[in-house]
Amino acid sequence: MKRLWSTYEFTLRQERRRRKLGQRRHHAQERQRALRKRPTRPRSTRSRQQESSLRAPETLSLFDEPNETLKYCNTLRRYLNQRGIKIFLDLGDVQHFTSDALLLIRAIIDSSVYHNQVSGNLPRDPTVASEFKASGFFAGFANPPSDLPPAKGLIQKRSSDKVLAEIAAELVNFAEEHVPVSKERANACYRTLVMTNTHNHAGDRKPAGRQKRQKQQKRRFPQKWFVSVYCRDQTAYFSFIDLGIGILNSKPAKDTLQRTGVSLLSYGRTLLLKDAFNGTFGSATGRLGRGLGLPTMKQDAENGKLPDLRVLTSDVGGSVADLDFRAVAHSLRGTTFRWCTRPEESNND
Amino acid sequence: MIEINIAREFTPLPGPRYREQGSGSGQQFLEKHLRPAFLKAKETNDQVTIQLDGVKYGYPTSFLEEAFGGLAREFGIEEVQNLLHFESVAEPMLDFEIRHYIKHAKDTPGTSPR
Repeated sequence: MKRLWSTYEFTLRQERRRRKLGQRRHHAQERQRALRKRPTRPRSTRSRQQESSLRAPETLSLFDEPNETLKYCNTLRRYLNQRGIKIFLDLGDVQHFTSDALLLIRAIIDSSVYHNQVSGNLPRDPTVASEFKASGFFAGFANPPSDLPPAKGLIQKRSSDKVLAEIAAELVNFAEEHVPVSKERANACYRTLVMTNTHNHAGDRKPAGRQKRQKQQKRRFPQKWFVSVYCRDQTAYFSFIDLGIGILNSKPAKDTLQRTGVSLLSYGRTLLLKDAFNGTFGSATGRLGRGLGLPTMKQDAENGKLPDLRVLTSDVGGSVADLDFRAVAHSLRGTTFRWCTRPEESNND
Repeated sequence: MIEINIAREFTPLPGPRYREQGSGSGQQFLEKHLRPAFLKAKETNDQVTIQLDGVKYGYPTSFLEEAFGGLAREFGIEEVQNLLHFESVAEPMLDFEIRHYIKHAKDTPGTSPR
């Protein structure tokens, strides 16, 4: 019997195998050569990041100095929306601050998409610096200052539209522990916190085709609301910030303009905000019995249950009790409320 | 007499309007407590007494509107006004407020008596 390896077919097969092996080796060598040519990635990109210093104005307050504060916060937001920038918040010049501005800065940092590195200094004035450290601003930060005093402030946030009454109760309870608050005002604060948190500021329900895209956007840029309480001089200051589209850009506002057949430019933003608090808007959902939130807040402000209630949305802001709204030069994307409790007045109620 | 004590039987922290907005909502209270008690009272020709005292920080308007206004939207304003009775020593004005929400349950936008 003929042995297989001596046949002509076996010789051909061996030849084919040798050729294929040669091809494989050649391709492997090509791959290795290509890999060697590819530029190597730096081990860390951190060292390449630019650092931008943002110098804060002397007065950091959304209602006492809205233009400078909004300009500062909008610049911060713009920088945070760019990838790979280190930000240094230079607060050295700050002489006066209010909790609403701190809450907005904190809200912008916490809701940034790229998680850029943010650092900063404290105000040079030692009294202002110690107040700043006690404000609760640093809670939850990775590297807070080492000598933080007992907090006089509390910041809470939620990353969705959901609200827990416990959060509102926790803030009111914090205020009651630090300053005297009358029962009536504590109730009004709780009620307002629950209402603001559930108020659909962004309430623009678009057609079903867009819902999927909106959902995707929401996942990438989560709309958050933030609430805080800060106790100073026997007064508790409550602040609420929603980084949505704001009251003036909401569906009820657009519907009101459409109904009256006028443009926002000719109707005026201040007038539109007055309408919102007077209850002529209705609700974003159009459902029966809804749209009570803003009118109730106005009534509570008028009755002294929410002293000094102020609102700032888009580029309009002011006092809610007397509906004294004015335009500001810079715009806030979202809505903020601030009110306080005053113990000396509450005794005379 | 059928009685519901909100603080004891439901929550000491009444919350938002809808269930999806968070715990202790007006919708949840309506579905779990108020509607069954109302139907029972209707069957037996009885009244429902709602004990409002005992909650920690009062009632948000949206909670009250959704629970009591919602009941009025479902069963009619007059019948709900007649069958419900409210008790509150701490906040006597709550009775007036809730009856206002029942009366204006079918208005849009809603109105607040506060």
